[in-house]
Amino acid sequence: MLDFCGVEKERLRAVWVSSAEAPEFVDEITDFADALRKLGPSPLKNEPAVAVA
Amino acid sequence: MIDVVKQKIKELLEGGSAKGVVALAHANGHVAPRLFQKGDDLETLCLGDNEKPGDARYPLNKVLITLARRYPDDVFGVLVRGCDERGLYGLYRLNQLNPDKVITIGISCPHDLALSCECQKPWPDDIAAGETADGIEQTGVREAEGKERSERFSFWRDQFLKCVKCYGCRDICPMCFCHECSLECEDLIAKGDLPVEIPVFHLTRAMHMADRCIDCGLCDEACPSDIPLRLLYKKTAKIMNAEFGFTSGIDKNEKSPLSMMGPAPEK
Repeated sequence: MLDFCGVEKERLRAVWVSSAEAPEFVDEITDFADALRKLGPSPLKNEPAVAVA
Repeated sequence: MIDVVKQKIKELLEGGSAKGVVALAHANGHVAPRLFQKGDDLETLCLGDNEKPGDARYPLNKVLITLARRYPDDVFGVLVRGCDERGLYGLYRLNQLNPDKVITIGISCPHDLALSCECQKPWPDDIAAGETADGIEQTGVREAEGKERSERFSFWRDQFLKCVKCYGCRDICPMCFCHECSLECEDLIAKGDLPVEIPVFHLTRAMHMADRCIDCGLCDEACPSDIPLRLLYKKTAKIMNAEFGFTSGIDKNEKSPLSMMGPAPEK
């Protein structure tokens, strides 16, 4: 749905990690953070505060 | 067509098989929902034809849910078009209505209405009156998907910015029946703030429509800002169909894949 609305779908990730798997959690988060850094700021970030059609 | 419907309503009420029939009536120059009971004058009955056939549609199933909650042991009749009947199938599945307590009076829609609704199935399975018009092929989602991502982004951003958060899309929706609504949960949606959070507000509703939306288009008609909500929900429906082979409202005994445990059903 994000993709349909023009937002990169790579910005959303759902991963299952058990509470006993700390290293996996770290890996996932690091990997996701790197991916997001590559994508740059979200296009939604600099929205005009008010726009009336 | 209306005479056939009147006759059917009369039979249901006088025969005692229904306690009342939920339909539309002319009232004070408008078309409004009305519960017809035994002995009522059927002169004001209307099929939702104001200036053009079917231009005054109304989510009668919502009225029916209210009645069924209040009088769970009584049987009610209801006037349905193809979309309304799809809605009923969904509401049976979601345990909001008991199919044993509902008698439908189905009317099919004329070609012009099917065209303006871009309706794939402008007739109910159980037809009491009307000629069946052909379904209309839908192209909206495919066209929207075909655009560049930046174009899709600016299109939907501009659409969502128009939202005045009136909740009209939810209030008119025949498939919205929850007592507590996520869109009014203050942990998710800031009360009173405009513009709404983009795209969270609209996608929240779209997600909840995933196995429900029966593509009646009332949300599009109700939206004062002309946001193409139906297009958004069509996309969620398309994903549901692609992933699970499921389409809401096409089968009276349907089950939603979202309420099943285990592997995805065979497509």
